[in-house]
Amino acid sequence: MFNPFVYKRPNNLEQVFTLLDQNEDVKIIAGGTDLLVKLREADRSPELLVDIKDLEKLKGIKKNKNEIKIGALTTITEIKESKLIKDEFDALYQAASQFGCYEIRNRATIGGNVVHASPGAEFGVVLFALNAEVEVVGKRDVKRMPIKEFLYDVGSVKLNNELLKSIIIKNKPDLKSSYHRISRVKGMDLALVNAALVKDDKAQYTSYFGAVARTPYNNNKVDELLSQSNLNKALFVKIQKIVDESISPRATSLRASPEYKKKMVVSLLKKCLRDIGEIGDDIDG
Amino acid sequence: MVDIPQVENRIDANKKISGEAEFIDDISFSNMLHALVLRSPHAHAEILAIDINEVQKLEGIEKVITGRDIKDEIINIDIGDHYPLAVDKVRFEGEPVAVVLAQDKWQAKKALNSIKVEYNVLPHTVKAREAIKEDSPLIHPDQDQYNRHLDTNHHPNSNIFRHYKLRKGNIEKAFKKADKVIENRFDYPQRSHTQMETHGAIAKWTSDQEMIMYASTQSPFFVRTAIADMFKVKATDIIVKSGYLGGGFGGKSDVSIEPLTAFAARFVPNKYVKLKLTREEAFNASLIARGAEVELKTAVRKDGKILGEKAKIYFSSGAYGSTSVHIVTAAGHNCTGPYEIDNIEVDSYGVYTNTPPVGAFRGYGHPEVHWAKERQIHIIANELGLDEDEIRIKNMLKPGSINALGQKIEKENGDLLGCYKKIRERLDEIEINQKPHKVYGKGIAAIMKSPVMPTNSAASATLRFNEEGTVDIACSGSEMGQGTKTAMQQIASAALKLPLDKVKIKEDISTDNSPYGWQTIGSTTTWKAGRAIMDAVRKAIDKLKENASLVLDVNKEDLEYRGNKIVLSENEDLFVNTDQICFGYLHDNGLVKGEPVQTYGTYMPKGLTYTDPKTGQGNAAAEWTFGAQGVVVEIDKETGELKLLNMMMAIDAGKVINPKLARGQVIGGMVQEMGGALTEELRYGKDGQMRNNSFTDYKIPTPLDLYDTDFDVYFFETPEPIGPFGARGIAEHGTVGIAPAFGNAISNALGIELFKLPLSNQKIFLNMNKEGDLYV
Repeated sequence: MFNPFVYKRPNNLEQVFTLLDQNEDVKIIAGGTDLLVKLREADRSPELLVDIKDLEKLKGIKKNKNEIKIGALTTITEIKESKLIKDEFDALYQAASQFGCYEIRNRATIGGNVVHASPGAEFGVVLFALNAEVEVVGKRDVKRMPIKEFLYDVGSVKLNNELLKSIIIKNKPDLKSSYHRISRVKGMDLALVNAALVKDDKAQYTSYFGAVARTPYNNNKVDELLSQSNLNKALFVKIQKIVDESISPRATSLRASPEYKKKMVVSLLKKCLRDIGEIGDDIDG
Repeated sequence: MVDIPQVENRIDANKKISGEAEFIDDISFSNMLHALVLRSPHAHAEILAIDINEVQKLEGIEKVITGRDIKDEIINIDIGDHYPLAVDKVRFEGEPVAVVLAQDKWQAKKALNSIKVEYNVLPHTVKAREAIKEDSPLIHPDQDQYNRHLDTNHHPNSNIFRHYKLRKGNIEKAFKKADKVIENRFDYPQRSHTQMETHGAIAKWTSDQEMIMYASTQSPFFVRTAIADMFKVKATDIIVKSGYLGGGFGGKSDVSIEPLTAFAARFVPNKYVKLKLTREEAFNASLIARGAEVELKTAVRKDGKILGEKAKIYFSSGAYGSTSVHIVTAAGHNCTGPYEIDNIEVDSYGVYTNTPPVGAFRGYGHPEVHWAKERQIHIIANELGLDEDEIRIKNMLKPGSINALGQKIEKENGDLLGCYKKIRERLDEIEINQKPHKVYGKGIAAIMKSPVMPTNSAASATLRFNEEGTVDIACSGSEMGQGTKTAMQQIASAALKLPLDKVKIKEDISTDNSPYGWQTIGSTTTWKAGRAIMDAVRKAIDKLKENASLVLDVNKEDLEYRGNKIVLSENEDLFVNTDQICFGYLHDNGLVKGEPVQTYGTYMPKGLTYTDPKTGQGNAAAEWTFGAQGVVVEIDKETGELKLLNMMMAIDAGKVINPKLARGQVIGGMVQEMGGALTEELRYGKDGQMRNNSFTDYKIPTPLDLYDTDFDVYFFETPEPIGPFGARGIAEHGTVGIAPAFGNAISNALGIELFKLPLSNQKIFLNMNKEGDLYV
């Protein structure tokens, strides 16, 4: 049951900012797949909900020279069905494919997923691994910053009466990427652990893991080892040791124990490497 | 064998697809108030004070009701241990403490926050094994003084409110003769029914003695009786109506929110009061399911013959006992499995715990004990170095065997061996396409099931011929998605030898004029209500023949009923059409011969008795159903993720009335139990609060988990002597052996024995990579 609130649906940014200026107790809504669940459970609602679904400028996937720009209001289904994404960013395509369920994918937006900043979010690890940037639009200007700076803690992003406008990914040739996750059921579940791996044109690896720390987790030592070593069984024993020593996932999680999560980081890493053809089926277990 | 006419679609299909079908939340009245419930945040606490002064002044609030308003209105199904609102003490998180009635839900919700309750938090316990310890907090210290409708053999000064004992043969002698004794403990945690439609009820008192209620219930007559008992009014002055249900699975078969709704409505006479649970409330404030720890100690001979078995079963039954008394019994009846064991000692306990009360759930005591028993058989086989099939077949119940209750098994009880062999044969023929990083396992389990029911659990039907020769039938049994009324139409059509479109079945129930039916439970509706319809049809045909004999001026005995006409057996040219005589035959001169054809049919289980208090044996089960189940799984060695490749069941259904619906029921049961086997478990925090009372962290199987799964359902048809055309019930049986089939498949794949459900990815992974003690 929802508590009463006022609902406005402006169709340009100016009106959005005016509403944000005029009201103290206000929430932005896009797909609503996180917000509406929260409001239903909450004792009270914000006075005003500003629906930004009609802001055309925040929609769509565009390719400019050497970068791809994904509007914050692009739905997960649109990402999943984009040929551009599928051809160039496997990890993004896989994340979109495993996200939520069919119905949720039709409504949820990539911007909402990023701004919600959940530790196991599908797109957190992928965009961090791709070293994405974000465009943030305010009343006066548009700022651009790395996503790692923008999303700085659980549920926390740098927005101050501003909107996330788009996500920008540098489009490097020969870039390979992969995304994997573990969940309890296959449809409509949260990742217990997820992983994104990127190998760039200079054979440098970047790996990020979700739901094991407050924000997508990366360990330089792991990336260096991957980039500089033979990918053999001994290496993964070494990586497991680094992971075991460097993360301490929340012990009270209902979804998975720290012990399991730590092991899954390496298991998922192997699956990602196998996906992009860097290791064979001989390395397992 | 009779051919049962087959339907294109279920009779409720169009209404449900178009949205025309009404569920409880679609019903609304102009003078209706919404009830919202303030619930206990504590698992166990004394209520020191409740302040409602501020709340009553709030706009739109009609009435605030607390436990202090209760005089002696107690819910006493079997044990009088439960008030509709907490009185002085709360015993589980989610227990109702106050009810706010308002015109507007939003006003009511705001008001809830303004009620101030002062608690003194008490030590709590959520697990039976803890709750039976001597130093455990007593959840019902006064249980000795409670009124009981039934002697539950409770233990004074303890949390044990039900103790069912079963004794057969000489157990100590059997253990002395054993070559080996194998002892294991198995855990089946608490689950939720997760019906798509949450519980709802709407009640109005039209006088202080009379009430009308609309409820999402599987058992309108049962609700009527319970509410009448609670308010000391006449059962017939309580009218309970129920229509379509969005799933029941047993969670709507006893009372849950109906007593509270009725109690709240009493304070606002002549107004309707509606209570509809949120999903979160359905998890922690209706009825929950299962929750059993089972210890099995089996004495075996080295050739695999089971000489004796001791079982101890501890149910974490929740804060109130009535809804699980008979689950404890059913588990006790069935825990030694579909085997003939000469020496048995079973102690099955219902134990109060600080959780929502446990109630009936598809399978009713059987899945929890099969989880233990069918895993135990597998482990015994491994320990003796024998084949598990050999052990099962050697010990299996067969015609002439005496079961645990002392009943003799007859051929007509079904072909257990045939079902088991069929599943083994199918498992053997499945070739696995092996992939890297994966291991594979096939698991099997044999099952038996018997409904536990009161000795007088009746079913009934009424039948009326209409002027155009069509027939209207009403019968007991709620339609909650299982397709029961469609099957009834088919049974009636076959028995009446009339086409399907000439037979109409009434789908909703109103206790003031519908045929009486005890409860829609125990997979008994097709069997019992179907039997009642057969009885009504037999009487109707007799009546038609009587009318025809008057018209044709022949002996009734010489006539033959052929559906649309009644003919003289020796001369088919002499006949009268059914539609000409079903209202009595009208001659040209106005003279009428015969009477309108309206009949009723009933069924009462025959010869059931209470079990002997010393041995627990007796004629307690009216029918038995046997079968076998199997799964084939793929396990990812790197993650422990389990994928279901095949799932199958062979069941002796007696006679399949509707093959599509029957297959759907069996698969539905298996998939529902897959949730319990792999992912579902209600979890409580240190403070006793339920931590996963939503679908975010309570995971049930989704279609994507079954994407590549092949299902096989094999029906055996050994006619059941009572059921219509020999049909048995099949609604629950899919659930019974799935968990052990998974457990055995994992054992075969990885060589590890798991004892505690659910068999999560994490549990599988950590245990396959661990030496020594198991992770639980």
